[in-house]
Amino acid sequence: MDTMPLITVLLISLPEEILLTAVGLQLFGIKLSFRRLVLIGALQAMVSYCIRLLPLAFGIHTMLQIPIFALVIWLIIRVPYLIALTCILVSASFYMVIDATLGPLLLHLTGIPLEQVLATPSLQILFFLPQGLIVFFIVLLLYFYDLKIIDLGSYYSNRCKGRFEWID
Amino acid sequence: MDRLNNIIPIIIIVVFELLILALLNLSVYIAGTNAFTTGNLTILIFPMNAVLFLLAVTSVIMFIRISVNIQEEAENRARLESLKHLEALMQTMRRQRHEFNHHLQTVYGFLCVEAYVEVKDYLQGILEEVAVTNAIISVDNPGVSALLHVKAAQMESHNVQFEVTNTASLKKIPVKTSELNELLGNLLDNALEAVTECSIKNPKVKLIISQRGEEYILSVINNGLPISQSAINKIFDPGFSTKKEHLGMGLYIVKQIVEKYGGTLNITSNERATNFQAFIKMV
Repeated sequence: MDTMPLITVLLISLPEEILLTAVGLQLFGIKLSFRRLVLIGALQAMVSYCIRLLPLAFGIHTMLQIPIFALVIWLIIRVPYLIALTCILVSASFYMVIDATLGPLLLHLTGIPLEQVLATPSLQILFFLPQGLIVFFIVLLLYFYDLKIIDLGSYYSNRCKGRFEWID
Repeated sequence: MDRLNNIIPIIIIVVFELLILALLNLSVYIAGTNAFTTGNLTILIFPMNAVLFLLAVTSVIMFIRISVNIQEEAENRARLESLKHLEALMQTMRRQRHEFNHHLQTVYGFLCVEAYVEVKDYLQGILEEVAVTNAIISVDNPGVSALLHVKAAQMESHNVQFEVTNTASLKKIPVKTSELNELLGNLLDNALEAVTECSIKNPKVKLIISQRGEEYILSVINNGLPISQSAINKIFDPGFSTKKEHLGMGLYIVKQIVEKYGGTLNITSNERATNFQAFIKMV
């Protein structure tokens, strides 16, 4: 079981989920208000907290979180579920690649054992900072240059207060 | 939405593969530690590999499907383009029929005043235009008719006299319409350039579709400057062009298409005319 103290939920999980949502949706041309991003992030942080209470092997949590994350996005912005799943799979994959690259590198550079990092919330937050900043920088780049994989803007209209109406 | 339906599944599969690989990578890294008491994905390495293999196979299948779809889309676009050109051809025919009465009245007027030379010249001009349209229609291939109609308009805009002589129906030609259009289009474009790049009197381009035994002969003749023997020897090589701004792929494509169907190409060029002939066997 990989439990999370409340402080790590607030300072790691919440920003992490907000950043993942922002990256995923921006890559598909779906723009959301910050309020909605925080709402999705908060809900997903709670989901993440609950899932980590389950006695599952490392990695299964992540795979379990993704379909639920897509469900949360679908509930909030009513974008088709498959699109929400694609958005979140893309951002989660990028994030995992950054995690798999930076995590071992930071552990190697600092010489701190992984067990100690996982047992100390302050260390967890410090270890999250570099990758959090990288993803934040990516979000800024995506928003600034308006970079997208597919522009779903041509397929929807957001006439009903932030919810998406699909044009077939 | 069709485009999305094609792209979304392939994105899901590819990024899911990436996610599994990243998770397995991390799992292998932490396998040596006791950080996670519940274990990690290395205990599921075989099912994970099986999933990765399945995803890889599925992504290959989907890429093939997408490439087939792209090809179909390109063909459909070409068909749509042909239809538009055909519509223009029909419009030309309607216009010619509409003008027929005026022409008859004019001919009658000439005959009344016994202006026989004038009536002959007048009718010659009209018949040339009608003859081209008739020849274009009689090729028995709507796609080719559409292309020839466009080319006729192009020639007209360059003040080039364009003649089409058709003595064989293209019904039995084994070449796909898109390829046949590429072949004829390239030959006609080259002929048009040959007669417009130098200022010659009465520039002419002639297309002759004929049949000899069991083979078709497609001839594109122009009265531009002759091509030297050294240029003829290299003219079908990829990248060869006498003009700097050209890629030199047109005649190479023509050669590829003709050879694909077991045909041959022949060029003759002299002071009077240059003739490109493609010989293609019937089905």
